[in-house]
Amino acid sequence: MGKCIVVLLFLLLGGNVAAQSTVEKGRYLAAAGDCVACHTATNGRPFIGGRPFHTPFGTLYSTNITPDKETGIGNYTLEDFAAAMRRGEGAHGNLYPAMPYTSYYLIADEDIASLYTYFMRLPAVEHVVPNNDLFFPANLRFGLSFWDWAFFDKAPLVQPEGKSPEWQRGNYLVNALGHCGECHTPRNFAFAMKRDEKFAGNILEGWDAVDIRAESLRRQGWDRAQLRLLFTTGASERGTAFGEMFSVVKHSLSRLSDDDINAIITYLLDGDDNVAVNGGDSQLAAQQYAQGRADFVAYCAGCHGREGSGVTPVFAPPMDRNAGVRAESPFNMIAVILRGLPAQRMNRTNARAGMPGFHRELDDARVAGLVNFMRSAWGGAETPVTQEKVAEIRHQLRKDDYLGVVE
Amino acid sequence: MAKIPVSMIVNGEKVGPLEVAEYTSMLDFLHEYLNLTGTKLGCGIGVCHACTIVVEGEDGALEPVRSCINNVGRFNGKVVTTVEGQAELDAAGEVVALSPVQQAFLRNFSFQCGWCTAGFVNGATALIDRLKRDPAPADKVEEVIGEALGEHICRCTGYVRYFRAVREVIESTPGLLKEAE
Amino acid sequence: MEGFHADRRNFIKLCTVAGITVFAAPALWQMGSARQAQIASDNLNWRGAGPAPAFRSDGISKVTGQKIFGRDFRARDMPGWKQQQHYAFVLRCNRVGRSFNGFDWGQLPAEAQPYVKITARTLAEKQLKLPPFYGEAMLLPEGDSPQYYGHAVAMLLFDDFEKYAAAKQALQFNQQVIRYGDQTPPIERDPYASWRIIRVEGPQGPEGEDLYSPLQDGLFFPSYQDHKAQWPRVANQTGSVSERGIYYAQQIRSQTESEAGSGNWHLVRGEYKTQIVDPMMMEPETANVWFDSDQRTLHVVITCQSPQDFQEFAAHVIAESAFAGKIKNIVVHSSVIGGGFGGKDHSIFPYYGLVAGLFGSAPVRLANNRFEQFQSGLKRHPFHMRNTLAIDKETGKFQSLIAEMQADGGGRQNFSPSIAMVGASAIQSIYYLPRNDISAVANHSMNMDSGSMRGYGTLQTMTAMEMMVNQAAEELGIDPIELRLRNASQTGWRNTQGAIPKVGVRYRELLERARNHPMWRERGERKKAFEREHPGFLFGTGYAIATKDYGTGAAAPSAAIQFDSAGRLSMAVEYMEMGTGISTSQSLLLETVLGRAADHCVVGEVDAWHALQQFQTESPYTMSQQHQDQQSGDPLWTPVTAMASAASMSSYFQSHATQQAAEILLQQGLLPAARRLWKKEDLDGAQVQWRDGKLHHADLPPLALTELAAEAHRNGGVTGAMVHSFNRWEWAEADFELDGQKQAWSIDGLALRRGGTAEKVSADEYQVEKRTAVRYPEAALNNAMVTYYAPTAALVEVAVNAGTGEVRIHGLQNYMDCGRTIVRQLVEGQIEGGVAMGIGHALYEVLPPLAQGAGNGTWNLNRYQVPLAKHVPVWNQQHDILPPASEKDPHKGIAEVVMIPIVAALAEAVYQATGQRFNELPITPEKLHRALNPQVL
Repeated sequence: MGKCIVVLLFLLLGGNVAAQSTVEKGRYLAAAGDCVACHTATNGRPFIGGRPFHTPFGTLYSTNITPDKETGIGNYTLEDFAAAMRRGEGAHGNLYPAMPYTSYYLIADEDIASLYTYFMRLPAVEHVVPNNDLFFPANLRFGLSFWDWAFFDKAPLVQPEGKSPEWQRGNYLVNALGHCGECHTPRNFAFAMKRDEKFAGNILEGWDAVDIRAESLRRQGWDRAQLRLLFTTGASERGTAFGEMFSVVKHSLSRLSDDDINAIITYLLDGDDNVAVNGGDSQLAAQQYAQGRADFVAYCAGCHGREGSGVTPVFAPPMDRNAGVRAESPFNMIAVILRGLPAQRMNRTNARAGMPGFHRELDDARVAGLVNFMRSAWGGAETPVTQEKVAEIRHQLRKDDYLGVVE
Repeated sequence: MAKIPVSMIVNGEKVGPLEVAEYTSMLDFLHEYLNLTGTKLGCGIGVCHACTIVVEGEDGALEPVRSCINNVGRFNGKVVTTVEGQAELDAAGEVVALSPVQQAFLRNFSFQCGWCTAGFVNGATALIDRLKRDPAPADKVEEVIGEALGEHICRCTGYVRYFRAVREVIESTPGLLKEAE
Repeated sequence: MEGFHADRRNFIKLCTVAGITVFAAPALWQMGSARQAQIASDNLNWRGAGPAPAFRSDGISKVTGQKIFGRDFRARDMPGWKQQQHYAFVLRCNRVGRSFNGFDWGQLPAEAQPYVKITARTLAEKQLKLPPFYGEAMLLPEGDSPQYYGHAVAMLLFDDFEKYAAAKQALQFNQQVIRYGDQTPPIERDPYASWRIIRVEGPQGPEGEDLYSPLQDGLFFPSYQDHKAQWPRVANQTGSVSERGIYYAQQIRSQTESEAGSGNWHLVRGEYKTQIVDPMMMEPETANVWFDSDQRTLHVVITCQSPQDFQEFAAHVIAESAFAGKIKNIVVHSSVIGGGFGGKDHSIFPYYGLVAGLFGSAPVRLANNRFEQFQSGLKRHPFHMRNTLAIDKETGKFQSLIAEMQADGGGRQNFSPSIAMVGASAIQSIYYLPRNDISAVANHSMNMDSGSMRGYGTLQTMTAMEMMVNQAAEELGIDPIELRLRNASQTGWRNTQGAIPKVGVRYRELLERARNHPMWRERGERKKAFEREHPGFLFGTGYAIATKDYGTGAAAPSAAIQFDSAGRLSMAVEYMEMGTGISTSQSLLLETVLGRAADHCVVGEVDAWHALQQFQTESPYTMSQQHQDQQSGDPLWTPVTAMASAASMSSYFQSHATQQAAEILLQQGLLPAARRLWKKEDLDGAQVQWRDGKLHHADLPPLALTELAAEAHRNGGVTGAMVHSFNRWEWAEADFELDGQKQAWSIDGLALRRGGTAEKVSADEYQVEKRTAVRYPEAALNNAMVTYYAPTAALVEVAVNAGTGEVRIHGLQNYMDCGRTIVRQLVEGQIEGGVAMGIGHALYEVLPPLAQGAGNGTWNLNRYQVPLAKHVPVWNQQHDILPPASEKDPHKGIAEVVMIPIVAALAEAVYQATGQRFNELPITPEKLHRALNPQVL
């Protein structure tokens, strides 16, 4: 009986199979584009919007992108959809560039069509998102045309010859759908990406969206295996994904095919592979930063292991191979020490405990000493972090209300 | 194994200086060096909060700290209270009076096996101390308790009687609550 | 005190096993709580002044962090022990499928070297083996392949803490220290046990004689082919047990199919799966063992729910080893336990401690950290069930249940056979089933071993039954509680085994109460209103009920109660304190009989019972009627001397022994004193009563216990009563001749104290009173499997976040029939704790099998999510506890049942909220997110 129905359905809907596969493709592309991360309210239903974004110009709310005619994008034609995706032109005026159309404009026509088909078949949810709360003049949408004119550089995707198809695919995923640059590329005064510093890292929501240029990754010891671990599980020997990147892994990267993950890695790691991994000298570091070492032993080693060697990676990452410790910028080290990290759960088997923040306990000098000890023991950074640098970061984090958490 | 000199005040008594292996956790220090075993190991990785002790900050404020993930060096020179130090004892070491939190836990039958009790006693004591300095809105008592003790794991009694007891202490101690916001 | 002196009263000879004397020391926590006993102040007195106790009798020691738990005690805390403390670490395989090829000891830090490395070879040299209950290969021999995840390969002993701590950090997660060689095939074994429960009701209905049932006809077993159970095929209505059984099983199956085919019966058919769960008791297992070679004595401190069995097993282990001549005495110190939930009942852990201690040159402490506890501790059996429930469409009455269950017992057998049996016998829950064919197989696997855990198989099977009943109600369009009312079993009706429960069942009352609750009556409106006010949340209401058998079919509790000349009551019971508050409740039980609660209660007493001089012969479960009849002629014989502290046992079984002892003490000690003081020769027990702590009779001046006690002591009368009782679903009864009068009690062993000075119960002050006759429950009752039940129900409302799949409990109403409550707060605490654990089972807790599971050694609470306060209804949970049916209503065992109904109630509430049925637990937020948002990749 069951079989008969299936066959019958197939006959009736045979013409729909192609559409079905387009929907499937759109579903995958939406994951690759991580649409859900932004268009879902905190603890809300997917794609109904309402997630707040705190920008220097005020608070923006993501929109409802389910096909509800009143509150969503139900009335969008493919052309409307493409205009929003590519040019930030929404039905009610220009979109704010928190919508990464500055990357999505690179998405291929065919993929835009698949995404459109997919979104139009989502269950329509009537949901009104809060109004944006922006300061003058950013609250004036017509200003966005000017912004677009001034800052939106619609250069086509660079597709150099001689690169493998895998590289090209990675290029597309990273720059177009993945819109990695939106976080990892520094922004100018008007919140536009600085094209000449592509992927050089950017401070966002109190974290450093790190420098992901190939040379930098290699210097921190990232290789294919570790990147794959990070992208598929959120954790690796080089450290774990936290902040917004955790969400990217959970909702987007961990859903991608092995081929696409490989393509992304190939693209990201493309560059001089003779870059030496940053090392360090733990004995020298212990001499130079005695208090820093003592603090590492007292505050950190319980979870990160004796001599920073880790306990077990499913619990907490080792520090003696950690990319954050090896990074040029000490921002994340300092921010993590001050802020701590929340507990994160990917699923039933992959979850990590939070880390306490030490901003009340450790003053600027001791944080600097701790960071300097770790960086010179395992990171090989040349310039020490000053007390003032820590003070500056602490000040900024406090101002932005990221230091509220007590252990 | 490198050793460090350790001295601190534990439950009102001066301890040390003792030479202690630097990687010794505070929990192990309490157990193996001071023979204070009231502080319990639950997970050893800072999740369950059974090992919570109380440390006095420079301003005298009491902070709950997990003793399993912090090594002994963190407590050098500090004033520390463990569950053994929460009741009033006489010269012979016998219990004379219990703290309000301890009394409330008893009155409410808050625990069964008692393994998580030390952590709850210390966590709740630090919360009461915090509210003395910074009273909470009267309509936020449940949230305040949840934030302060919500990560403590209890496997026997399902939290109901611990939370009820802490609420009783908060609501019956003058000055811990302010008007609802 | 220097070393061990066997003549000291502190250590009482318990028994002699193969030439080794087993001693039991006074329970450890008595040492710890000695301070507390002297507290005089009124507000520090647990009993308080009101009708209910002011707090738990062990409350002060727990709230002030005194040393009471087994894990607390170091060598220096133990009187007479060598002061130095050594430490042991067990090295375990995190994988299977390759041969174990030795060690790379170069991984050990130079400054953290062990002074002894114990391997399989060491054990073989000393002829040390596990007790047969646990199987073989205590440590994996070199060249063999690990038999299961977490198989131990070596134990290292360190002479100081720092070395131990450094080595443990270096080795615990080290991938090089154990060398692996060639790939090996997986290890496959026959199932540990198989059971089949077939019953067909006879023409006289639920109360009449059955056409076939295990109780009436007996049990039969399968053969094994390719490690799978092959049940006999021959069916014959007049043949052997198995032939008749198969005949009726076939009848049930063909009738079910044909009635369903002709449209008379509705079938709910489904696969139900439960997960591997860790008991996650808060105190990880620990042992501290000192081999005092000078005194040829082995001292053991353990954290174990079954110290009596450990004592006996340990003596056998040593007697058969090269240490036999070197050890004359074993002294077991048991202690208060930081939670057990079954995970510390017959765990293998103490034997590793024992062996470590044998090789130590000072006391050796083996203490699991949480990673190790996850890797080596007993787990809950995952069940995979294929069930069919048939319901008559017209009447809504259940017609048949066909259930096929597979339980995964892991790499060591442990209690797998009985857990499969109990699970199978419990699936019927509160319902009456006229026909059933239930089979259960306990399988071997390479998972870590599963064992006793709260619910003991019944959580798994009853939850499935409740899920089927809820589904049936939906599909038949009958209100779920109405459907339950139509099918609830009644007092006097037979269960699936053909036995008749011994306690009255009040299921109807529980069901009616829930049916009238606004949460149930208005569930439709409440759903609409909630969802209107909370867009994005799905609201649902679920109900489930469960009735848990309690008892083991061979309970043997002992109790002793005595008073001193000042009228202070002290008592000892055999049961361990696992947290349930037994010392409080047992103390309190004395009030009705002796006028006041015990001033002092020793729990986990193991030594005093020696005064009863009893002995046992065969297993009480398998002995023949003939053997029982023959042996019971000896007044000192008993089917079983001691029992493990299994769950749900204290309130019914231990209370029985306590009450019998109290009654005897009243009759033999206090009444004779009262007769003398009142000068009333003919006074009998029915004419007196206690009021305000004094004994009253007519208008004679009331007598305080102090006066009565003083008189009894002055006169050389009875001042203490010690009893041993035996229960095989019925209590044994015995006659005694006391003061020339024949008296019958529901006990099978008695000793009395006359005079006496000891503050605590002490064997050498008691004289055995030999019984003159005894009536034991028939051996055939072993086939009944279970006959005692206590029911609980849960009515729960949930709000499911349609986005994240998080389930928030909006309201919870619990219902319980626990007979006569002893301490209401303790009962409520049990319910709330059971609810929390049930929520974990239903929604959060799961360990993957095999390589990804806890046996790989990397599991801890960062991943294994036990419910936190935010996951349970802390502020919105109500209890409705039925008042006792009568003054004779028993104290029913509830510790296990309380976690069961919430599981199925949540599954149903989630279904009502989301329209999705989940027959596989747990129903995690991830699963719900996926199911509710299929459109998102």
